[in-house]
Amino acid sequence: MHVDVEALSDSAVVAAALRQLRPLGRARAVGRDEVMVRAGEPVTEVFLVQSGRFIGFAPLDSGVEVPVDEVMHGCLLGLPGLFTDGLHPFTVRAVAAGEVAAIDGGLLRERAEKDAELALLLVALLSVRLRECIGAAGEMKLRTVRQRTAAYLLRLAPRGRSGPVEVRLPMPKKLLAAHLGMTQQSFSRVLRTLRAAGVTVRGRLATIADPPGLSALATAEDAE
Amino acid sequence: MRWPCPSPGACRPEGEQSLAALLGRLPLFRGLSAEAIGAIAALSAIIEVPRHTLLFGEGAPATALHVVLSGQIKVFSLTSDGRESIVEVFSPPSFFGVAAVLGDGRFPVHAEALYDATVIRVPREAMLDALSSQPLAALRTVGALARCRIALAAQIHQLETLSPLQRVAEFILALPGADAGTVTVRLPFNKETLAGRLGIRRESLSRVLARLKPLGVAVKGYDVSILDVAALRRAVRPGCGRVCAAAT
Repeated sequence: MHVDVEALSDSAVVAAALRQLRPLGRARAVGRDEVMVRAGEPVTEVFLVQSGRFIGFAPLDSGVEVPVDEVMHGCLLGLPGLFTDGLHPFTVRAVAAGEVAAIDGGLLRERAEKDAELALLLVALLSVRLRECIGAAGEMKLRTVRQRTAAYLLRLAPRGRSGPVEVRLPMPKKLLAAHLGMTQQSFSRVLRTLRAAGVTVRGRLATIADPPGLSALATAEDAE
Repeated sequence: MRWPCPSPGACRPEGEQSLAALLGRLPLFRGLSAEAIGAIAALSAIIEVPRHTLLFGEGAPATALHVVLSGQIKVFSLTSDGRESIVEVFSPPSFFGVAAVLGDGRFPVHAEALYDATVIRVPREAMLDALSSQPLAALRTVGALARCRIALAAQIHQLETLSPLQRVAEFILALPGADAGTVTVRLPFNKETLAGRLGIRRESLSRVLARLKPLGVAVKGYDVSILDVAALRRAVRPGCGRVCAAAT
């Protein structure tokens, strides 16, 4: 099937990847907290994420792991390592149960070497992820922790909602705090300050009373 | 390498032949057939970009991939109050813009010449033709994007875990020549750019550099003297593992 990558939006690239790559692998269920790949280990398999939620961690020499990436539907776990030095750069763990298609790394490489369309799809898939990473790095540099938290909560909510919306935090608060670049104590303080902006968090459930108002806060300059 | 082109206009100083030869030597296109390189060269052009000239702006149509032949191009985003976050500074023979060319058709960031630069502009159509007919070019691009992706994740990791002082020290320790003993290394760009690249305000960078003095680091212009590389490494490195190396 021909894929016109030039005409595809990000979501269509992901859909095309799922359609083209899924038949190359075998479906397997993933349990919460399962470690999919470990940093420094050779890439033997890559995993096409069909459902669930995964976090990429950069391991410190001290053994502590720092979340650097959130991976969801349509991503190909292990792709960066497969096409660089053959080693996984990150450890990836599931924070929510899901399903992946496990694809033999050698097979994917071999197919991509012969099939320009598949290779182009991999370029497009990585391009989508790269743009997300550029956005995330920019957020870390330019936004305050309060703005980053507001932006993250908004990303969990359905787009275009003006009324109150409830979202579920996809990972424990301690992990989410590290993902947003702060300590758990700072994260708790930030959530308290966001109450004035209509955000209440109980356990893993967060309610956003005024999404447009929160959006204005997330993008306001020098809010703090 | 300098090309006598009106700037920032495009030209073919020695004809398509030389452009093809230049393209063929670039890591991205090495190994492609002469015919494939010739087809890319026929649509591409060399552009002179004087210092501080905007190559493209955020939101502009992503009509081309850019390959740096000389000089440096900084890729950055801006807040509406003018604060700058530098995503990366590209030097020869790196390229940028693929993610936008294959995305929604708009550049997500600005690109500006940090110093006088020469770039090859490879139009979107030429790039897509090459990628969709030459798996080798596509796989090289996958490799290059994968390295960018790892480097960006490492940047995020540093922003999350390292203090501004540690980020500056890590950057200095990763410069060519900062291996051991007493050394003088050279910053690849000015301090304002360094601050933007490391996610630090310009005024904070001055404070950080002052705090590095007791650790044996002295900065004069672009020159950085390190009294004892190993001692600096011990003093500032929290043990950030192999991923840190990818950030600088």
